[in-house]
Amino acid sequence: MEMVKLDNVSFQYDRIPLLRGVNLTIQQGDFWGIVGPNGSAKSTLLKLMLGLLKPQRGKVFLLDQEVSQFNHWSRIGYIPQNVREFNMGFPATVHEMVSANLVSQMGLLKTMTPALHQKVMEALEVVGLKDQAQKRIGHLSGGQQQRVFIARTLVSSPTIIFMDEPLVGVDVDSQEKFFQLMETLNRDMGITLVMVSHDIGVVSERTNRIACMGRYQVLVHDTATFKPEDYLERMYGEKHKIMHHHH
Amino acid sequence: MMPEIFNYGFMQRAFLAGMMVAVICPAIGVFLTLRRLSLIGDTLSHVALVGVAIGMLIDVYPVFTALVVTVLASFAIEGLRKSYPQYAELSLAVMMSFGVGMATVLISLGGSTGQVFSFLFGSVTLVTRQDVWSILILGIAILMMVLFFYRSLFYMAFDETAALLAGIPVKRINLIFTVMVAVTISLAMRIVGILMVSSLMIIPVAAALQLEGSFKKTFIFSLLFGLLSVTIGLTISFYASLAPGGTIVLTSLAILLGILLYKKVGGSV
Repeated sequence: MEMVKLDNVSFQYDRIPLLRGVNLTIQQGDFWGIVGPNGSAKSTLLKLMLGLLKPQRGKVFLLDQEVSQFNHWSRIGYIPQNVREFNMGFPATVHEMVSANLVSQMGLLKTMTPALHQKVMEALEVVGLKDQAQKRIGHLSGGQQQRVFIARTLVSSPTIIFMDEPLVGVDVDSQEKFFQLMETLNRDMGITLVMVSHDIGVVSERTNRIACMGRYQVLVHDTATFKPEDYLERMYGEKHKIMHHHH
Repeated sequence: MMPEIFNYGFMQRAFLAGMMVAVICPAIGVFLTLRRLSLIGDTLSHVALVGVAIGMLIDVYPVFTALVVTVLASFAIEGLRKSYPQYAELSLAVMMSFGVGMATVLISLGGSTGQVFSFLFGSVTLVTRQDVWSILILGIAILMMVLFFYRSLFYMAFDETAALLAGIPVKRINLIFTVMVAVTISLAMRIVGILMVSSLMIIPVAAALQLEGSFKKTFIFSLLFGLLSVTIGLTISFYASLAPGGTIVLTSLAILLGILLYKKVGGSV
């Protein structure tokens, strides 16, 4: 099954063209990285895939269904950019946060059944936060909070998960744990993963398909043969200077 | 034997209506606060005064006209907000100016200011049978809707995009919630008065936000603090002959202050 398909998609924002005639297909079981410098329309591409933005031209398909008609949202996972930008003083426990994603699966009275509670605990077990269920979300570390967000999408058993810059604000230790978890989701649970990141080096090491944002275009590579240096040179050319930063 | 306070029909009505308002105000206020919209209550209550003035001019039940005007104003705020996406609170300030200006002009047309005062500062003692019934029926409807949308509103307050992607009809619920806010304000103004409606929506919530634990606990304690404020406030105002609306709001502030002080000296809640 084709998880995502972009068919000749063009998108402009405020008359500024960002994407022109993009074609891209994400197959089931893939682990995709969408990379590019800041302002290169990575998040735009993600939002187009999720139907949060509408292309001026072309069509977007999610799980073989046109995204504007799409109605199987429980099969789609989404982890927003930089969890720390959220109000972490929000008065909610980890359990409440994770079970929020089950609303559309609940009955008319929206009550938690033992079966739904079981799902929440299973999702928390996958991300290793089972014993933190009754803790306030604000009392967890940044890495743990991110795993709460992952558990929140896992609870509705998605077939594909989209992540917007999941590595921002995550320390090296948590980053390692994050990729271990991604491997579990991708290899053991068969979930297709799509992550947007500006960190080309790390992403090209860990994913198996990579989409590089170019000028109005998306260049797709197999990570086995992908060389980040070539891309950086083509992307930045003579106009830009490469800034190195250490993690 | 019944305490003296319940010997009077007007106090019985005040307690009935007051306790309903005490529950629905914070129930709506929790979600307003968490969405950082606590000022919307203030704005809409000022606009409600326009409705009250219209009701008096055309001799229609003022709570009803206030309700209609407040609902319309809440939609106008949403519209204005789109014109100033970077200045969320600007649309509130504009609408509040409209409310105060328009209400003043309309009231001056009417001539009688006595009844206006009862809406400005609340007049529990003047609560009529009609008021009690409309507050009880609409109040129960609001409460049931809050419970029905509880989980969706909770999710939307934290992360609207994720809520949308989880299959929650965000736009529709936002619209319904806006109407619920308008109705709550129109009902509550009879008890605590237009100038203090938003206090009852926000202060019990502010107190509950100081507690640890789950959202459910925060929600329940917001309602509990609202109830305490109204029952204690009404009782004090009866025996000490104080203005009921003001006494209720001051009681809720005392609860908030008590919790803040208790935490300051190291107590855990």
